[in-house]
Amino acid sequence: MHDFEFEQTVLRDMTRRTFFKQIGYGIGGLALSSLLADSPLAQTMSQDPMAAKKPHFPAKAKNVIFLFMAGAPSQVDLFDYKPTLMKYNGEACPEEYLKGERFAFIKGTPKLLGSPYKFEQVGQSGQWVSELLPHFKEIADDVAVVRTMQTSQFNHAPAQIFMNTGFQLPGRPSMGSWLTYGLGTENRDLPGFVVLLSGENNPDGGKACWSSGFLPTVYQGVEFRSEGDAVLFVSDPDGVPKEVRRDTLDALRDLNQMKFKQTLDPEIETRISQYELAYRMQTSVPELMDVKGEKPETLEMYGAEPGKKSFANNCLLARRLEERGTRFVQLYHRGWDNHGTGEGDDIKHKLPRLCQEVDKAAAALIKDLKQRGLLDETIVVWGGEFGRTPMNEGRAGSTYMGRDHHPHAFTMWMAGGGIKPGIVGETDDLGYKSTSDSVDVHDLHATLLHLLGMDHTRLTYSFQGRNFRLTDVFGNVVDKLIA
Amino acid sequence: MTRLAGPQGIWNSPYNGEYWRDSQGAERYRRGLYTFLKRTAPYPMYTNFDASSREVCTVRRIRTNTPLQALNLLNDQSFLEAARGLAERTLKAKSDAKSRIIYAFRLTTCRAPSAEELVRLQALLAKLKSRYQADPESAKKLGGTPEQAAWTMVAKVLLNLDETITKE
Repeated sequence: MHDFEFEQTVLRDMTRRTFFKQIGYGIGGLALSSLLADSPLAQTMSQDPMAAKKPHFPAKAKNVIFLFMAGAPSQVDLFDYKPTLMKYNGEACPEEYLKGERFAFIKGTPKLLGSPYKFEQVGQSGQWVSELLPHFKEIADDVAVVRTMQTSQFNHAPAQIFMNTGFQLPGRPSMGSWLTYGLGTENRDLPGFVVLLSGENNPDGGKACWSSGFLPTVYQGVEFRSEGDAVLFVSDPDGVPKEVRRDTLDALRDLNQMKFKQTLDPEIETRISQYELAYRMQTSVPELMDVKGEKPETLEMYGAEPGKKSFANNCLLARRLEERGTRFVQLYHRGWDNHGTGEGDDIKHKLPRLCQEVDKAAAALIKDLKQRGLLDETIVVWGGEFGRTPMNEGRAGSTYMGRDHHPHAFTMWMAGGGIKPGIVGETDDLGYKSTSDSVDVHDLHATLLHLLGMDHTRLTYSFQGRNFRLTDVFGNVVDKLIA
Repeated sequence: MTRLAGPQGIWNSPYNGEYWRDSQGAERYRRGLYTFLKRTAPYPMYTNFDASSREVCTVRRIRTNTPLQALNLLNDQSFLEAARGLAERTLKAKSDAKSRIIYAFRLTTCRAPSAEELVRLQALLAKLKSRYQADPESAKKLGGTPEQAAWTMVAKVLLNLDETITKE
């Protein structure tokens, strides 16, 4: 084709989104293709975007399983033992704590709420653990417990989005997207970033929690169903034999490719690779979901009942995904929002129920990965979007025990690849604020990336004239967490 | 049995014994706008394509493109019926392969195919025809003669083009 004609075609077919992308590189029609060939965008486009890539430096871990306790669990009833808070249970919260504070629901001067649960010291570390977590006690020496997590957000949706993307508003890529963008994935027959949901409803932050933001959508989380078929429409319809399916996908790829050559729209490349992945998933997903080969002891260890929507089933599935080389698996279990407005959301009735739903399976996941030799290459993270107040909420005079949202100090734990077991951080006598080693969300992200062999300041993507990072302009690697 | 709803069991309500019934006749081809929605048992295709849960307002739809969407568009019975419909319409409207391809291509993309695209689609059609001629049983399962089956799958390709799916 004549160059002039080529230019016309390019200009005519340029879509709005590619137009703005290309303007970002400061180039116009004719020189477009040759200039783009050298740009980082073209480099990602010309290769398989999900192919496994080398990290910046040797990694201590390959994959991540993130157990997201959506709704925010109470640290002072589970991990952060506060005898002083128990001693002053029912007294007014000292004014010095409340000055300048904003709460989601608490009004006036709240009363301190000591945990009604017994704690005991466990394992080599002698850390205090609540009676609500009997199974956690068995893995206590394998995990690092961070008692001084902090966040800037105190409402669920923004806090969940912040914990996942490093920014409180929707629109930035999530952790799993950054990881698959940076490292690709080792199993090309399954998505590199899988999301599994359980609990009473979906996370408040919605799909923005596993969105790829401004990264190409090939990097977004793929949500499997937790009930019935994990993936719908996985079988070919009647009358479409495998060869016909392949013929049609080949033609579809070729035709999409022709369009891509004209427009250079990376979303077409994504479309092509998602159709190919879909084709491979028609075989890999039934194999993944078939737990017949699992020993009864294994199912019992997790408390998994195949076919039921449960955190336990999802933990087992996470292990199976991990075995198959999935880069990032994220489980959400919603229900920890224990305000104490009634029996359905209080510390006395609801919290123990949630612990029962989660404790056994989370501990089983660590034990199972360990006995299969996979824990060395996998990081497991457990935690919510913030913590809960050491004070009773008492919304509208409620007599049920409950706690409001608390961003200043909360507990997360992590285990596996390159994580040094032990305790990080101390909080004050009420468990209100940290007194040493605060770890904020960006520090957590920087540390996880570091363990995966990525320098968080160098994992960037150019968007709207700026190089963006998961850690924005923040983040310090927490040395105390690293073995 | 063909089902418009996709997966069975989506709507087995524990409270009143209600379950999803496929619409019949003309009702079957209503626009998606008229699909009956239950918040606690969302229509699977809408979930795959990120429809709102309707609990909160949606200020902005985020861009997504997943293999689940690809599977939905490829294998959901209702999309197969759509492809069959397009094939029938095309077979009726024109009489030779070339003008049929151009016709169907224009219907899906609002433009004529390039020479290169036309050649590729003709090659696909020829291949599918020979496949279904050798396997009339499959063609029957797809709801017709080898000719109709081949055209149904060509229509399937056209309906799955990025250009057809993406509105921008």
